[in-house]
Amino acid sequence: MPMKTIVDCSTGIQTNVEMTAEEIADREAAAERVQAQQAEEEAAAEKRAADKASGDAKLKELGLTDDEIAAR
Amino acid sequence: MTITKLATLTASGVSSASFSGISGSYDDLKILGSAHTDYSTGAANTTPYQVMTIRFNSDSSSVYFVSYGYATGTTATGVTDGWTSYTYSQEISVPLAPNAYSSQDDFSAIEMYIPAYSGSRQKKCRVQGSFMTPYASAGGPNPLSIMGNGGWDNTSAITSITFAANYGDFVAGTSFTLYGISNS
Repeated sequence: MPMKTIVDCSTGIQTNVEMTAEEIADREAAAERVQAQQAEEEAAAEKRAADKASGDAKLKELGLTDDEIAAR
Repeated sequence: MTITKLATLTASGVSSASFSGISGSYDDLKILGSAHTDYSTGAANTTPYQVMTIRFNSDSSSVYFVSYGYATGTTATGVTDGWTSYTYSQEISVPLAPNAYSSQDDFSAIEMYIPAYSGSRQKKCRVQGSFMTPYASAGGPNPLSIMGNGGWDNTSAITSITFAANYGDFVAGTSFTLYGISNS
């Protein structure tokens, strides 16, 4: 059973307790949401990198040097 | 300005870590933390970190937003940077929990600042952090850093704050310390 830890700031006492079924379900739903967001971010980053590489290659074909491309 | 340490959380073998019973007698809150998780399967095969979620008062409704700029990589391996933004989320999520594919010694450095946490306006926070991963397939070693902000569209005073890894548990060495800031 997944555990959670809580510190009560008014007492300083920290306790570990089992998560409830509702909390576990909520956590699993959050994990799926976050994973979907993460996949979306990674896909966007990969597309940006591919577009940049493609653009750089086209600029090089036009005669720009690596330094000129990097300085854009 | 006076800084008062309110509590320290140590998290090991737990999925989430919370501060509860936060007094409303300060002006602002500050949190310094460091985290690492044990997750090593599934989604972690493609990334050397887990996303850490942050909630206030255990509120799971779609009233959070987060925006952060990030940069990862080195001059030698190439730098990837960008901007991420989510609105109407059910939590503030930031990539600040290195997992089992990162170095065991690598714990993220996390800093949050929450102004006017007990006031009557909607709450916001600054959140920033970084970690280093040796993830070879990502061209490592790679630093990853973020700087951004989060928000909670709720006017209630913040009395609890929860940090959770989206998969796996926090490992020994993970800790969060909460400070109360008095401006006078």
